[in-house]
Amino acid sequence: MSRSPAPIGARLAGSRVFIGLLLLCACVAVWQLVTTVGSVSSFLVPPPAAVAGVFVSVMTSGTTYSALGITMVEIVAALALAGGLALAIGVPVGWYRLTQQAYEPLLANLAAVPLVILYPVFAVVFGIGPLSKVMFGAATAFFPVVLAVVSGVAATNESLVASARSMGARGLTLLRVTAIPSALPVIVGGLRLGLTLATLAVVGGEFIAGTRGLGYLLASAGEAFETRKVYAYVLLTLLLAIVLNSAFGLLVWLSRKVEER
Amino acid sequence: MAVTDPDREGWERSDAAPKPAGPRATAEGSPVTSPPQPSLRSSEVIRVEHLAVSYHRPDGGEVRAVEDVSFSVGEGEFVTLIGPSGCGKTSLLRALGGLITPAAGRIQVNGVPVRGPMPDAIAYVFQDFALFPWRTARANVEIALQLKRVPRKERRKRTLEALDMVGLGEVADRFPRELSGGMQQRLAVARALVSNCGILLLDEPFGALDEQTRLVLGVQLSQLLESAGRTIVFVTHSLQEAVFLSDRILVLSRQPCRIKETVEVPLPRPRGPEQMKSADGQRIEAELFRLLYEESLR
Repeated sequence: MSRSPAPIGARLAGSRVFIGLLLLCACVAVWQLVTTVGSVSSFLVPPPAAVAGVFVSVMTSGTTYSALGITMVEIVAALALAGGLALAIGVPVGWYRLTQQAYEPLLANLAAVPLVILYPVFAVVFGIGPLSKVMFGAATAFFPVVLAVVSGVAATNESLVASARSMGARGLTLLRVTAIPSALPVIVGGLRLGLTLATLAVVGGEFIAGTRGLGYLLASAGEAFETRKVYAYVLLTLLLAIVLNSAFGLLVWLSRKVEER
Repeated sequence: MAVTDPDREGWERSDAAPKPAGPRATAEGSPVTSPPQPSLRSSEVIRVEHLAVSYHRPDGGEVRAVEDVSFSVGEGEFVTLIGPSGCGKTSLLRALGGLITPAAGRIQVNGVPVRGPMPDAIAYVFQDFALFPWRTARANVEIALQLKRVPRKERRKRTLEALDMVGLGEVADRFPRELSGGMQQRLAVARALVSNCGILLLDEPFGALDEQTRLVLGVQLSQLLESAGRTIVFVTHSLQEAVFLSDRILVLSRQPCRIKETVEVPLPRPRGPEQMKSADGQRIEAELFRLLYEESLR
């Protein structure tokens, strides 16, 4: 007699998705609890259901989508700029031992500087429009990415490089078949961190001095004391970050495919 | 059987050509030692003259790894470099492969001075196999042809032939980490063979393997290479391996390495497992050990 399949509940309980959802439910439950007990003012922390209601109404408004679009483009542009610059600088710096030893500590020290102190300069130079957010986001995201590129490229197995050279690889081809794929996991890690920082910088920039975007909407809602709206926008920013982060898996997968061809 | 490539550039060798009589002599005999001097052979493939190689230490100092080395390798000949640990064998081999620039002296391959890697003439097998961990076994072999811009269709065909030749056809889609040490080693050999180079430089290709695997692979390699008819320069630590595989053994001195002695190995070919422990082989092995021991006392 064949074994009957496990009940659907048991299979679901073992899955990662279920565990993840469980945590999410727990968070919402705590949130609900905090608001119902009444120790916290519902003005400061509105109940989940109220926020959900506002979230739905916010999501039916055209302003939200144009703000979302602006912010998304700013973040992607900032990360692309940071990534491009980090590759252009990080690959040669990491490739040669001398430049790595000379510049890696310098970059690491610069990375520790809180760039937010320079935001007024960005706003003055690039205006309070989207350009200043892109530049500020790029500057913030640049350091984790360039540090990842440098350390990833520097860690390339010397014997793989010799092997590729013996097979006739030179110049950029040599980098393409050795250092880049070898450093890719580390670079992707740096880009993930860069994405987080770019999101922070862009939304923060819009929040501090902006005319458009999610950060601007957040700031406006806050200034108008519409806390439910603030939470709805926070939720939306969270979703945006999740979507952008998930796009990375696809990027890595694609780059692997291209390299192997 | 070697794969053929009609579009191949550079040095061509004919598999039908008879093996040079000298090094492949079948006469039984005692080891012949001769003073270190470049031997002149009619079909000379590699010629090294007064080669010196230096490298820079991280602290800025310069170390002379190879000093005044001269020898030549004939077509189809199997020459082994043996010497004390860290004596500069690898530096010498890397200079032959055009991977490092000599400090002095000349290296010629097929009459052409070596100025850099010569992927059409020389294939290299590294001590740690140097397999790309992000590429499958197939892609690891194929890259040798990709870098030479061989058309995709031909590339695929030759890659599979090379994998079959070393018995890895079944695992073509596995990644190196999914293969055993012996399989990784054969994969590295397949990559070296696929490009049809006339010359193979092997840097302790069995160094990372256990005793049993290296003996089995040694026999397989010698059979494979004999059928492929390549010219081979081989670096090893194992005296037994050196005697079993070589036509000629260059015994190197301690750093900076010079050629201390040249030992001919006139054992008959093809060599099978039974030759591993032949009386003549043992005598040559003993002679090699004597030379290396003498060097270690110096």
